[in-house]
Amino acid sequence: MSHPLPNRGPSNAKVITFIVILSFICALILSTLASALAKPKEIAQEIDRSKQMMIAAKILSHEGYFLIQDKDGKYGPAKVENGKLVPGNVNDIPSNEQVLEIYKKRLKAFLVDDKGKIFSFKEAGINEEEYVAQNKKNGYYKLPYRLLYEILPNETDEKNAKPIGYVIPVNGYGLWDAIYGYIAIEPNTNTVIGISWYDQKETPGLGANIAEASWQNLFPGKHIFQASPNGKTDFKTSGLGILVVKGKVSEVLGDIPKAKSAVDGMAGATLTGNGVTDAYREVLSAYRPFFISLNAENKSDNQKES
Amino acid sequence: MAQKNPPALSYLTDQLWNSNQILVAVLGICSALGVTNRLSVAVTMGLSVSFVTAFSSLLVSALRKITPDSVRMITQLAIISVFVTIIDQFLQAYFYSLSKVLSVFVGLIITNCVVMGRTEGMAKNVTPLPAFMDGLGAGLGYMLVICIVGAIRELFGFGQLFNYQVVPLSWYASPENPNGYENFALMVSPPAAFFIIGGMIWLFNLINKK
Amino acid sequence: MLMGDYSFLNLFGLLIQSVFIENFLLANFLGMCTYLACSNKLKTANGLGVAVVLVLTISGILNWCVFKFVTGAGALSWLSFFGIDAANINLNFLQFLLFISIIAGFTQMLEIIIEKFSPALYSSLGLYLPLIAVNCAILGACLFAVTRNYPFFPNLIYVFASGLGWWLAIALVAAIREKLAVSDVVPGLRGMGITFIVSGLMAMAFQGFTGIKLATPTTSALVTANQALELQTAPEPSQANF
Repeated sequence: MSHPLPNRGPSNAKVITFIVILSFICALILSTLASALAKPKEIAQEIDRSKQMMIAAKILSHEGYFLIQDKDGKYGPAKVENGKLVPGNVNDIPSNEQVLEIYKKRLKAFLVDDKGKIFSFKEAGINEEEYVAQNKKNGYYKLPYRLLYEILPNETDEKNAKPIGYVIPVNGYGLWDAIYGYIAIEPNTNTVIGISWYDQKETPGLGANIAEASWQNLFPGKHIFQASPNGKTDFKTSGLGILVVKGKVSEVLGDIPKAKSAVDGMAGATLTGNGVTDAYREVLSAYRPFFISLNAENKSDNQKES
Repeated sequence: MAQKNPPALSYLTDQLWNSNQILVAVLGICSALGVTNRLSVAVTMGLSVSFVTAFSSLLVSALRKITPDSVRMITQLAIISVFVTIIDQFLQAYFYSLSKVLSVFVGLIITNCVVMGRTEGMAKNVTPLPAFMDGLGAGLGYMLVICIVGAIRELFGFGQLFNYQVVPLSWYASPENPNGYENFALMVSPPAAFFIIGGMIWLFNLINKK
Repeated sequence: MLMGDYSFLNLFGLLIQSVFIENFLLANFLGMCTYLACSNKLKTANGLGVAVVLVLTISGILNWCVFKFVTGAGALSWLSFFGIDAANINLNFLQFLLFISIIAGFTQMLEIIIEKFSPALYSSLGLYLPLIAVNCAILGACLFAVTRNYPFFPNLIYVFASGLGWWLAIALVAAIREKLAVSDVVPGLRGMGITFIVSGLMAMAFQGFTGIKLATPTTSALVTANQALELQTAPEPSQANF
């Protein structure tokens, strides 16, 4: 090598130019990537929420295949045929498009106000996408117009088919962070069809069990209105919500009518369980007027038929 | 004296065991503890780190001749964060449930000492192909260790592997069988990862003493 | 935006929570690498801890500003001041790049400033600053703070207290390691092996703090817990009549 020159390093201008060009290229790569992946990301989020809602409504199983009820009310695997669900087997895992197709057909979003009256988004003059996006974080139950989903039946294509259930978005606070889920109830507004929790940051193996199928399977058939000791339920005054007990319901509450509104707790996750109890109580209370008015309607319908 | 450059593949194999990033250099611990309670999460994390380390090393090595020395660290960080963002966006688009579990830990790959260690320690001194091999080996060695930790924790903490029930349900304690098997709940909490890695370092030292 | 729903009691609770309950090192396991490499002596640990508190607090504030005004959802709405309608542009993908650049840039600037103004401080602290730029705890605390969407003052308390908690943890373990260095440890476990096991034991100890919730800005956790108990034992509470 020839005699070494004193190395003063590149000039400041060169350094700055290098950094500017590097930043520009990085930003370019990232923005191209972000715009290319924007649609798949949106779809992934939509599919996740749709799946969780359908799991609560017992249209989709935890293992991924669709569910259909036979005439005895038992659930069995189903597959998609001509836009409807027909009996299938557990290996018929639907594609993402099929999941969205069934979701759009069977679950319709509505709003209820604090008097219990139900509105479509158009009638209330609210943009559905904006409303959902804005309130996703804090929940819908404190708003003047609360979100509700009607579960439409599988068999019919009628525009105004009677709903076979309702899904209510639930949110609250677990041990570490906010929890978000769904609860699906039958048209009698008392019996639970199913639940799901789609967003939680609880302790894995303990509180995070609220997202596990085994615990969620404790809920179908439970009552959200707490019966008084004599077995009567008054929609106007009975307590509302599902209680997650510490331990097993059979040991803590035994056989009393209120046990129908309680589920076994998770060992080591009492606080998450309390968060779930609070969430159901707070959120469902906001929909009480709707339950009352719906039951008044049901009663008058039954009287008309008889 | 002119020394023959070691073959590129040796960079990879060296990183897998002899200079394993977790067990020997004790780097990359942060995420090793937070993401190993399920095997599926550990595998995803391992693959992400391998991807980021390999390609960052490649790019840093390719740019080594024109990078001014004073902004060396920032350049490396910028390159690493670009690849991490790529992985993060990709996971959110195609593996949404996994990305929910990993959440912030994907972003933390940027500060994962394994990645920085390789770009600072090796990539800026060698040509691109060995740098790529070295980075890939470091990532795979890291993945090997966290998968072992993840497998042990999931097996003993949940009785499952990849969410598939391995410990037969009939073994579990129940009201009829109060002395039956119970999951080792400690395995699910983070301290267990500390103990397991400590044990692995011990084993590693024992094996290498011979 | 500044305080949100948080009261001063919540801020205090957030402080306690970030130092003890969600201790960055022992509960979230971030910042391990530097901690493992540098915690042999209490003096080094203290120096590192102070540096981390300083860098974390200021980067936390800067990154909060970046999140609020550049990369968060709907963050660019302030551009409407200049007549540009940018409320729908989502720059979320630039978040990692910007955060780490700010942290690295700030650390670099701090190093230069300290070197100029206090050579004595620089000789004790300055060596750690480059290490800190890549400390998982710094980036981690900034990322956690934005996912939780804290208003300004809770964010400030959160990052400051996280730094304090990290310092506490590293000081504790350094003290233990100093003792361990002169103890009789199994040969295979000497050095890193026993450090891991000791850290695991400390992490278990800190787990005892879980469940203390002082920081949520909603109705007091105590009131709702009592209501839950009431549901269990007392006759049904009467709900408001409609």
